[in-house]
Amino acid sequence: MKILRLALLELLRRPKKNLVIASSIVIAVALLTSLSIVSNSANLAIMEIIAKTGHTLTVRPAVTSAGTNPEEKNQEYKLTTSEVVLGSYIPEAAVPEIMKYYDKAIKEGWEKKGGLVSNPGIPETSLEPATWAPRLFEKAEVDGQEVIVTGIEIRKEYFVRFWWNLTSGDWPAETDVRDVNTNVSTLYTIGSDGKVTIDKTEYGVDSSGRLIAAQDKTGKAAPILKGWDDAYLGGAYAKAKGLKLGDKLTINKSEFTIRGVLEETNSADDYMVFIPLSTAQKLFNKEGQISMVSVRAMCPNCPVGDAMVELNKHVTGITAVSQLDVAGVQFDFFNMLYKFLLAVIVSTIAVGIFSIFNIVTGSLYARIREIGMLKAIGASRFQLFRIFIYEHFILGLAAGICGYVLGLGMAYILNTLLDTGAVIRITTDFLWRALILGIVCSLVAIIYPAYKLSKLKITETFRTQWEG
Amino acid sequence: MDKNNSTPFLELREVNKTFSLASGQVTALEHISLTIEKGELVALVGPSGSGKTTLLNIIGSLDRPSKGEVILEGIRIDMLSEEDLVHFRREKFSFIFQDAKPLRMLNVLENTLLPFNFFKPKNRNGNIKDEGIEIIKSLGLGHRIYHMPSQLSGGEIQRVAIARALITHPAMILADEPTANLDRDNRLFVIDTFRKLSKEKDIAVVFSTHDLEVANRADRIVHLKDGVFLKDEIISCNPCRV
Repeated sequence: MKILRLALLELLRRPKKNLVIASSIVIAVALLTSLSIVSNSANLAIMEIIAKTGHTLTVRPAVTSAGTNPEEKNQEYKLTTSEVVLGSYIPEAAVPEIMKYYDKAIKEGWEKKGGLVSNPGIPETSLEPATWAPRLFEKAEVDGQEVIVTGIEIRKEYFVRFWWNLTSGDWPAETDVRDVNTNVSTLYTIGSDGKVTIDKTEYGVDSSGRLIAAQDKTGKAAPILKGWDDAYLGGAYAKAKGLKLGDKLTINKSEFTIRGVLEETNSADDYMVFIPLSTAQKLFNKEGQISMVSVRAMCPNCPVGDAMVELNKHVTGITAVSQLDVAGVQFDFFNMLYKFLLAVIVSTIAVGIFSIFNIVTGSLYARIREIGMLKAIGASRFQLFRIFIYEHFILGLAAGICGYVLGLGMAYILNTLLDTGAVIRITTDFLWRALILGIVCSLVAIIYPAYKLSKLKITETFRTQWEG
Repeated sequence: MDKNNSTPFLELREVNKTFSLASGQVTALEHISLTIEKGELVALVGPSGSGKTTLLNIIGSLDRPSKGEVILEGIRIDMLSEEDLVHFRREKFSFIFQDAKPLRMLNVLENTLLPFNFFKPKNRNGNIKDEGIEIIKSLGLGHRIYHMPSQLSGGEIQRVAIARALITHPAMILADEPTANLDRDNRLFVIDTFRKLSKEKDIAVVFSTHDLEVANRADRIVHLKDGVFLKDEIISCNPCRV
């Protein structure tokens, strides 16, 4: 304890010099901490996307059909990501063809992988039909502000994006699925009498395969349109606008009622407004058109890559993208960036430690007579070594804490600059790493000179003084 | 002097010390034989390079002789291991240096008690802090107990070094040019304090000096020149020549 106190007092005795040493360590720790936090957060976000959408294929229009105005084109390009497609469309009628190739490719790929024959670990029954969900993206004026409004078939969307959860509201009940453009045979079994029973209620199916009210007394079956003005909000959008369940929303002068608010998913969905696809098509005058289709394979280890290749080969006007591949590219990019920055930072730290080593060595040798005096009054070599180690342990610890705090701030800035789209996640691991790095940097610089000095004979420390 | 004991307190027998330098071997001490008794105040006198400091180092076990023997209370201290020497020095010796800078971040009392940061005081009945204060007061620094070294004069700093040397109850104090940077009053105060300590506490005090006025207040003056023993002069009526 007494030696620790001496070390602490010694440390406080040279505030300027120690501040210079500590600053170098603080910068090193801050750089590494911020980089680690950003990289970890970005990787976690990507991993989550991979975990969620690993077996999802996105089918998009092959070429953008944005306007001719360069500024508009540029804007469209910016908004056209793997998650959002603006200004380009696929005819809705092409979906059955897309699904046909998809199913065929999955089945063949599955058999090729031995899923049915040679791989007993993947039972035949696990091959289930894919589920698909179309989307129509349009920029629209929502309560006076431009927002991306997405037309979706809500229950299909929910089924494909199984990670969706509501923070408030309810999903539409089965009977509320009144999508006039959906062929009900893909969702329900049509009885021999040509009717569908959903929750003990009978519905008819018209010649286009659409669900109609079976009890229509006029004898002229009309599509059931209940729920056409439902709106679901992305979590971040609802939070930003202070909107809640039951509130009204005006999209391009039509009024909608908020039926649910989604939990945030760290994706573009968080900032969107969702309305029924058929409503969106009518509202935006895009009837029979969609912006993309998400296809979720319903078997583990489905050969989605095979399906992607087949679709891109056989169906014109579309591009199929595996979300796994997109996430993988992002993952590789961030890993490469991380490694590059890490190399730069480690080189900087190495140079920094060398500078600290020089300052520390100079500082210690300036104390050489004091060291001799301490030895002469009874300090052992080990006790002196402990004083130096304690001094630099405390210095490294303090620098580690400061570096960690600075690193946190820098992580937010770096995350914004790199535009990772990830939410910064901080765990205690980063604090421990920062403290260890600070202490190690500080100790690495001191150990050799401390060892050398504590080993000096008393007469050697006083040679310059005791020249009799 | 312990006249009743046939074994001297400290004895140097035929001590030689050579240093290996790039230019070759340099002899610092040659055939030095010397005895010092408890309670003696001994001055080492000689020109620069005469070997005073080397002799002090060897007496205080800070350095080992190249040849010869150093015996303290019957123990060959030149044969002890480094680890044993650390413990031996803690018990037997205190050192006062010419440039006796105390630690700047400690006050006078803390500097006095500094040795006990490294080892525990032995055979003490009273409070060690009280004893430190008593020693500081006895050296005329009662008003400076909690002052920092930066607030002290050169003479006061040397007294702090003496206080630090006394707190461990050494058998011997070794001082290298303890009065070199002091004015006459402080020089005489330091040497008179040594004299008083040697007589009252039966401590052997050996110091080096160039100053004959200071040397003449010792019991003995050992003259050295070029590492060779010149003369061992006993001052019988000290301080009659001052």
